[in-house]
Amino acid sequence: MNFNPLPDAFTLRADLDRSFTKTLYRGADLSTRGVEALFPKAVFVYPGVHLAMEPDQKPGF
Amino acid sequence: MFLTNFQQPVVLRFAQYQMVANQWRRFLGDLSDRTFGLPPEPYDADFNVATVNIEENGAFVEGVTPYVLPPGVIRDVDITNINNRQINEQSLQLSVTDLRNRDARAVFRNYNLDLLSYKRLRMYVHAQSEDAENGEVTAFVRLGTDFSDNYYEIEVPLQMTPAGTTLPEQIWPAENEIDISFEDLTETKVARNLSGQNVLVPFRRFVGRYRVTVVGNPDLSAVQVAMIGIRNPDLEDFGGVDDRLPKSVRLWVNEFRITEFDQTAGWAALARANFNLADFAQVTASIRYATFGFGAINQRISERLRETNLAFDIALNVALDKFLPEKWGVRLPLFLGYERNRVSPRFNPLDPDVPLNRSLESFESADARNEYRRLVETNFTRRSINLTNVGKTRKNPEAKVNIWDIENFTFTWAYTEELRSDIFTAEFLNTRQRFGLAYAFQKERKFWEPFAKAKIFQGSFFTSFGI
Repeated sequence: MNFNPLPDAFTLRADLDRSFTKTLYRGADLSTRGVEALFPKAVFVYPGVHLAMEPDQKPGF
Repeated sequence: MFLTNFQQPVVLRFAQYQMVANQWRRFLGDLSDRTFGLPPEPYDADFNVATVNIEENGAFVEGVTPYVLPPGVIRDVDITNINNRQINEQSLQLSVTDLRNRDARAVFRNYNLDLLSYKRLRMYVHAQSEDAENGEVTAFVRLGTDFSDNYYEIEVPLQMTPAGTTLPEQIWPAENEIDISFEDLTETKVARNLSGQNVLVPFRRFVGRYRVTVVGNPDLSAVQVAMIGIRNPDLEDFGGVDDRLPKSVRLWVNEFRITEFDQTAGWAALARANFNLADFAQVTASIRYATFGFGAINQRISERLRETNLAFDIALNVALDKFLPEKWGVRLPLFLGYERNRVSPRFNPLDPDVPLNRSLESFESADARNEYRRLVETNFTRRSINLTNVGKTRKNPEAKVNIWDIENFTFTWAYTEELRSDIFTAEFLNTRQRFGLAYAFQKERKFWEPFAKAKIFQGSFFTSFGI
């Protein structure tokens, strides 16, 4: 039987998403006079850790 | 159904017990001319809706007009039947008694129709009356998005068929037939819009013998209701003198239909190019163009393109690391993409049954026309630049792998920008940036084998099981 209590591979990830949207609708006269633009913004952070502790052989006796 | 209380024995015979569909329903709202006069008193015009058909009403009786087929109409034949039986042919009958002056009665039906690809509206009309002269009563058809505020109306003065007539050409006179091009309807709306008249006030125009009315903003690309009715109009509107008397009239209407397609031929082209510049770069580009009227062979006529589309894109993959010494082992793949799409509508999106070119004529200067043409276009642009999985590869596979090696890191950066504009949106801008940092470490595997040397597991008992 093979067994290893220590991880033999590990990965770390960090992702950052920045999104910026501007929406400007037209007014009744089809121009943009007096129309306020909309600005939704978003930031997403995705951290991630992965440890691998997989035995490379099937357990057996 | 039950019958009771007979004093004497009776024999009852029933024939033709039928279910009758009523696709056309009586319109119960007020259809009288809206004027500043006194509100009309309610009264009963005995509005009656029924059907007449060739099987039941086709017999020749002295003094009665028989039901005949309109000229040119052929009865369907049921070929599944061994006798090749002719199928019945029938009309909708509308009758009123003492319909007052400037009042109307109508039946309606709900639809969901897109008539932009068709050209003409047609219907046969027959009228008979004991008290109305030729031209004193009119038949009308309304097409619109509702019954009273957004519709096109076609009205035709009726020729009365004398009682007892048997000739199909006199029973269905050509003067009564509604046969009008949809362009005449939309042109009336354009004329109304150019005149600057309030859209809620009916705008009337004569097209041949028809009087076309537009109220509100009806749209032939989305017809929701159709209405067929009888009106006792004020003949002064038609240039005559009105006796202002109530009229009794009976109408047969038949073969309400749309005819002729818009046969504008469209075309489309597609080109695609793919270049490989050795192992350094790869370029993909394509362009697509399709004009109004283009459609695949399996598409219906109303599914053909209603706009002209131009789209192109170019994508570039460059291995920038080819500029660096190979022994550095740097990975630096760059992606550049550009995509553009332009949709130029054939019809004005704010007036969907009027061709854009016709709408543009209302602008005075060429600048204003070009400005509006640009406004109604849908433009879409996407630009992107990516550096994906930037890092350093191990050049020496024999070297020891350390936890702090630079080769363990990879870096990603992606930037995308989308810009769109159309008739409702002046600008829609979406930019997206993504940064990614990844660290991956993998060391050589070492296994702890506590029983590797234990003799008990090496005996023949375990090995015989193949463990």
